[in-house]
Amino acid sequence: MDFDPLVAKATSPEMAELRSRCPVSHTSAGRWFLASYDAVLAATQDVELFHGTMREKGVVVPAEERLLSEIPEPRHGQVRRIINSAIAAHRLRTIEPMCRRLCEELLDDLRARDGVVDLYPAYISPVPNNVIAHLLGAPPQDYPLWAKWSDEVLEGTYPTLNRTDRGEGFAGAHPEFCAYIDAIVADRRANPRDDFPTRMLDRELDGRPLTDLEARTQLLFLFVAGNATTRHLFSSIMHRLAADPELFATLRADRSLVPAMVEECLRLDPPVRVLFREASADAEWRGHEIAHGDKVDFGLESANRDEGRFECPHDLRLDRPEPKAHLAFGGGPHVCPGATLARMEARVAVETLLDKVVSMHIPAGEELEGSTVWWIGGGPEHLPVVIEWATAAEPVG
Amino acid sequence: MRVDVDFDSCESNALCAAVAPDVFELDDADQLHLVQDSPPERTWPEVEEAARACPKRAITLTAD
Repeated sequence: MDFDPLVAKATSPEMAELRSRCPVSHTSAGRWFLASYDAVLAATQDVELFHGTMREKGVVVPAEERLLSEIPEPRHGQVRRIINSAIAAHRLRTIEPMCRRLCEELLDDLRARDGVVDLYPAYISPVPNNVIAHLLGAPPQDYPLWAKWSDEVLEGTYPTLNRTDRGEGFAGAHPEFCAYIDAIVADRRANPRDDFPTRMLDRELDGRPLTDLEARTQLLFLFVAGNATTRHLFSSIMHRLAADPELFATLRADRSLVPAMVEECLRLDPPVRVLFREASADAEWRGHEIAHGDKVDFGLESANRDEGRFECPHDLRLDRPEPKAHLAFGGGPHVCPGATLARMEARVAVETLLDKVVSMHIPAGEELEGSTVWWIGGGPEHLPVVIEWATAAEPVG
Repeated sequence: MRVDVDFDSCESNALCAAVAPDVFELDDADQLHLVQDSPPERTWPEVEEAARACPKRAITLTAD
């Protein structure tokens, strides 16, 4: 069978060879694959040539229904400014305490249970889901609905085909989720308040506010993009902590290492393994003739394991000189707008865990498996652990 | 060191403010402000990281 870098493991000798000898390759699947750190970084800067899209060839999405990642410049930047007003660093001051309370409550609930507990449904999933649902204006009783819809979208064909068996576009493919978002938009138009959906509807682009359809599309995008990705990051972190008692103890003794732990998990287990792009024109790029419409895949996972960029790339090291140099969030003008939010959530979730837990381990004989969606990375999708809880009086960190 | 920002290309990503909050600040309207354009030497490592982190490469640093 022909070698396909999209499915090969980033740690394999074949991928190491691809990174060093053939960083830009035309694959057996008829797509381009960028394997090296240098090539991926350069390509993320070239947003004129490489347009973001997960859609299959020939799938046309109306302008108002293009997700932020699919909108070409300069409009991408304008819409992005509005998105930033929800989730950029300066908007997180009120979100961090909410996130910390949520983490504390979830762990306190878990503490009441004996024996083996699965951290995945109890801690890993609800934190990112509830934080982003809160940001987008959903009331707490509806958070579980959002979690279900988010998985349905990612596991279905809407992201690639713009349709499912149920119908065309988001409205046809996921009618219940769509109706829920439309109701938020209609409510904030009628009853503006101090929240992100209201701010989003207030802002003007090219002299007009977003249409209802544009607002729906970007709320959907933010929710789906900000939920599963962060969950898979959490899963990677919690899995590595549970599997390595020494690492757990090191972090528990020195909380200043938590941000470096988050960055190393992003580097080693990027929640998005591959970014999907399409060439917007015929072009010669790094000595290769790329044709208009060609699919170009940016190997984020491969780039993060590049031997030419990272010393001992497969080792988790908390003392790397440039901890944020990895490309887990992509790069350039389209770098993930939720990066700061994801980092904050992960840091708070780990800090809260270290406050309340002395140690945890995975019982012998457990088989842990990652996402069935092949381009999704991160950690396993269930994480049974036995927890030794801290007593209230015990000093920590 | 002198800091310049190309405010026309700034998209309020706030990655600079996350790294160097003493130098870069965003207000309630998501507008970036340069708190100081000749920041003290102790802040230079963060300011350099902020310039690298800017998705739009809108931050320019020049030696005095």
